[in-house]
Amino acid sequence: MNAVAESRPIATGSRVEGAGTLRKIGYVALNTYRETVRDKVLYNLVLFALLMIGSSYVLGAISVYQEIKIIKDLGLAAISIFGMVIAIFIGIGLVAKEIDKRTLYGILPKPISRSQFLLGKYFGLCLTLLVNLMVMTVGLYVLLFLMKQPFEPALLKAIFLTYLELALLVAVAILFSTFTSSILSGLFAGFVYVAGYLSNDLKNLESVVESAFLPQVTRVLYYVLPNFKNFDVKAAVVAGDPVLWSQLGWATAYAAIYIALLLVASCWIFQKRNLK
Amino acid sequence: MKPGFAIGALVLAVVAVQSHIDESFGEYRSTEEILYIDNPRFLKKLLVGFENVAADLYWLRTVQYFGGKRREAANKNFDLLDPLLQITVTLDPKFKIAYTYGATFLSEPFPQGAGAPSKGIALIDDGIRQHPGHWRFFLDKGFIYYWYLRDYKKAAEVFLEGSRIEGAPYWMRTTAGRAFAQGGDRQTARGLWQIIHDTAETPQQVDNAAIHLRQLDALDQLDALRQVAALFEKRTGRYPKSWAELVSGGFLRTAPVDPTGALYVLDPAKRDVGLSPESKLGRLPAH
Repeated sequence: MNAVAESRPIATGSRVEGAGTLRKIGYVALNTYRETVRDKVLYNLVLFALLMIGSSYVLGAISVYQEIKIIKDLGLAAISIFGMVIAIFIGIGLVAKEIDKRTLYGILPKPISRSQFLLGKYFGLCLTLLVNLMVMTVGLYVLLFLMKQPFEPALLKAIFLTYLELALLVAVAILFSTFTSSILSGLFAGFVYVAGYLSNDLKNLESVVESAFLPQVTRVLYYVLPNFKNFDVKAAVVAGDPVLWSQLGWATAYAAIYIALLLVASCWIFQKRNLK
Repeated sequence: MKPGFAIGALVLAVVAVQSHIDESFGEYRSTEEILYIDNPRFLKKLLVGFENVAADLYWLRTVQYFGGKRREAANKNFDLLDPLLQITVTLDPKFKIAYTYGATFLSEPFPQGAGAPSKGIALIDDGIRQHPGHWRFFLDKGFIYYWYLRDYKKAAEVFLEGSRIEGAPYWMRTTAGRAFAQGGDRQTARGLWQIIHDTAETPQQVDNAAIHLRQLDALDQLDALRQVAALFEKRTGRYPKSWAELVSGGFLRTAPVDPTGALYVLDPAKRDVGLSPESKLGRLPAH
């Protein structure tokens, strides 16, 4: 059953319009979350548990006393990879599925705007990712505790930034899904993710090419593409290097602004889209 | 037939067929030693955001490769060791233990290691560039100069350079002085290995240093045994034929064993004493 169709009737004529809007978005978000849970998205947690437990047994024998470092690296990478797969593959289907199944047409006549619907979908998937990440984080800490490691709050900084990265990636996936097919949305979102990680190279390109035009293009691209490197402190926290709170603050601000930009653009495109 | 039974039977059949293929054709399917991507920087670009976990995988492969090669009896080479280490530390420049261990793997004389101390020094130099405040790398580098290259002056310079780093232990400076003044001296070597032993970051480093300390003990014991044999020859006019002869003559209390418990070998033909082939000490250093 689709996300909105089974949500409770949305009250019209709310006393405070803003609160009503938030409530509508909240209903869609909650239903989107329930839908992903029903779709067994959280089954990846079983895979995560098996991967971590299996590695903890194997690595002790073959890593030359580096098993704790590798467990941390592997745990953080698995949190990121599982989240990324969910963000892209579920994110691109959030809108497309409603259109393909024609359930969206049952929603549109109801007193909920397309923007509210889209934002609800976005926050619903973010909620799924949050629950997912929290469970995996607890799993990683439990494993480290069982391996007699002291509690390391620094890992939470890396996981928090991973969450921001995923929230941004969901926004990218949703943007593409508002105007193209699921397959192309997935491809584009994947491309933006990779390009966003390599965007520092675009900036550096101006120092290695002699062309006057190309550096300007790459500089524009550098600022336009989401810079996913801002959220990658996994290596630093595992090595025990300090990650400043200010770095977290600026990365959060960057994510908030960029996500807002993508969601505004997504809502605008979705409003304009001819769904007949 | 029930599906569960069918699945179980088919899994067993797959295992049986695979085992048969391995037994029958294993020698024709030996794993080719190859690095599909040997450019570490290119590889780093490919692994967007997951360089660390890839570095771990390359580290595991390095350790497996080194351990496997060490056990090989014939046609041994360590050709892939340096590229594997380069990839590991390029993917994760913070992987300090990879520099330390890698430099040792590369510097150990063939056939225990790659016998390429210059590559070991290059790797440690890379580590020093990445972590200029990590005094331990200077200890590792100086040690390679001292132990593997026998360049005591250069070793002393490196120890001295490391001693100037904030937080470096006081003995770095005295070690530099000893390396410079008494390079090649067994006591200095023993002191160095004791430092490696006491500052080890992993049990394996402790074990490795302990073995080398035992080797130095064995060298001292061999010197003493040669003197005993010489004394026997001086008194009897001939070289001893066995330890039993030395024990019955009152020159030794019991047949001598090395620090790992293996009996020393007395070779009247060569007029020398040495380690037993069963000894776990390996090849003794020249110090």
